[in-house]
Amino acid sequence: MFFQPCTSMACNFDKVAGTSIVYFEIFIFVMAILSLFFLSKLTNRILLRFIVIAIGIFIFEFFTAPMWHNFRLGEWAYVYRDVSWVLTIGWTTLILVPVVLIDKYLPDAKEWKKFILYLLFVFVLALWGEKSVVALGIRSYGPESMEVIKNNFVPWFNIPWAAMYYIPVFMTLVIGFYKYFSLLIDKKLLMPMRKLRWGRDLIIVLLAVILFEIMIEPMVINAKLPSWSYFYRDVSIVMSGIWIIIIWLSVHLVDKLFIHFTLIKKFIAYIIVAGLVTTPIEAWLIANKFRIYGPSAVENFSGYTFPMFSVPIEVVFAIPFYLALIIASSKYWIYILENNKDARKKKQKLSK
Amino acid sequence: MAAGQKTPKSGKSSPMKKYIETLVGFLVILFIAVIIDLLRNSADVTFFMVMSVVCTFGITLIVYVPVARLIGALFIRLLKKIFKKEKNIEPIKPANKQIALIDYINLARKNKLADSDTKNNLKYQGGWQDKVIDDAFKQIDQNNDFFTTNKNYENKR
Repeated sequence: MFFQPCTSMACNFDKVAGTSIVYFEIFIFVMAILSLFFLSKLTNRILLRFIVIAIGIFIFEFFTAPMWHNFRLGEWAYVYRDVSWVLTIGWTTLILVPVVLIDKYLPDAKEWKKFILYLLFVFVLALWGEKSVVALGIRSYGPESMEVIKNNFVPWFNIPWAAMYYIPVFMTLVIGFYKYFSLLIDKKLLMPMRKLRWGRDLIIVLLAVILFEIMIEPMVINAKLPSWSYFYRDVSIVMSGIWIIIIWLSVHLVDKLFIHFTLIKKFIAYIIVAGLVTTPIEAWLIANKFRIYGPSAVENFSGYTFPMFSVPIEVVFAIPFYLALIIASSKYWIYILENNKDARKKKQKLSK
Repeated sequence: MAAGQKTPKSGKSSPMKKYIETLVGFLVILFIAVIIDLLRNSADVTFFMVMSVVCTFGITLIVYVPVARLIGALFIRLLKKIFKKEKNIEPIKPANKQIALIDYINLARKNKLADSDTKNNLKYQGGWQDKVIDDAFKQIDQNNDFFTTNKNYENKR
């Protein structure tokens, strides 16, 4: 048999949905359909926008699967381990509605102001979403995440205080991912740049990587690194620095060599270039115990390894997923800064 | 085509160049495989690569050859970039830059942006030189003339 049956706890959990959960799922479907119907009156290609956000969320859910559990949604509701497509639809709707409404009614607002508004609205909605899944007994947290959460829960909401960090970071990455592809969907006019701003782009990539690394810290232990390099638990500037430099250089290499590529082609090229460098490095770090995956992550592994590097196949998939979120959200901000009309006017005035 | 007009590069490379790129690519891959093996104190990767070709009677070369050529082309380009000593040499193949500019100008025109605004954008924000921008505009206009002439000719027929 090609596929090994999954026997770990990651597969054998309570999948039976109670009445309240079934109603909750019906509520999600109805809200998604209604949102799609009404938003289709406000903007074009709504289904495509929905799919892009859903892909961003699914990538995130797949990547962070060991950190939290989604139980009791029904046998049919799961795609991979306890990653559920029903929740993906729920989160997608929750993000799509405020983003489309803000874009529609504040078309001329500055992008950073709009982004703060997206985050604000989505954050409030996500708090309620998280409260609902926790209250219904769908959502619980992995032991490694609980170690960080340390029983510090927000009163009444019953969600961890750590969610106040997780939710904005999660939303920043997913909205950034969507906004990158919305440049393509909306056929935005993006200027080819003769000179790249290396310093600025490094800061953007650094922020994206560090914010995400702090969030996913419970999944993996970065060991045997110099003690001065750890700045938060086991998140090390040396380890994060490696990913930052690889991503930053890959993005610039592609932007320089393939300046004529379309956004989608460039995106694929970023992932391929960064992935080709990252995968062997990750394999070496795992083999030499610099990176030790936590028990919840190991439980999720199917047992298959990538032949060349002996890396769990899940890690090989997780690398492009990680890169996709980081690169898309970083590149979105790079494009926004590059095409900033105010900066252009200033430069024009100065040169005159 | 008018005399003196630049012919756009076809993008096709000579067979010899292809062979060299592929060979260089294979060498780079082999070098990386050996390095990984040395670091891991084994011969797994090199062995896997060789056996994956032998055991499939070379079918895997369908994948390996284009990948090797791509890596080889990138590697050669990188070497050229590093070892070019002359100044004012553009890091990117001119054709790619020109394509990027032409695409931008075409899209700007579709979005009904005035050519003067497009030029200003490219100059002040994109950092492009006047000559490069003008060349891109010329290229578009020449192509448009060529297509218009052909269209008129087709219509007359």
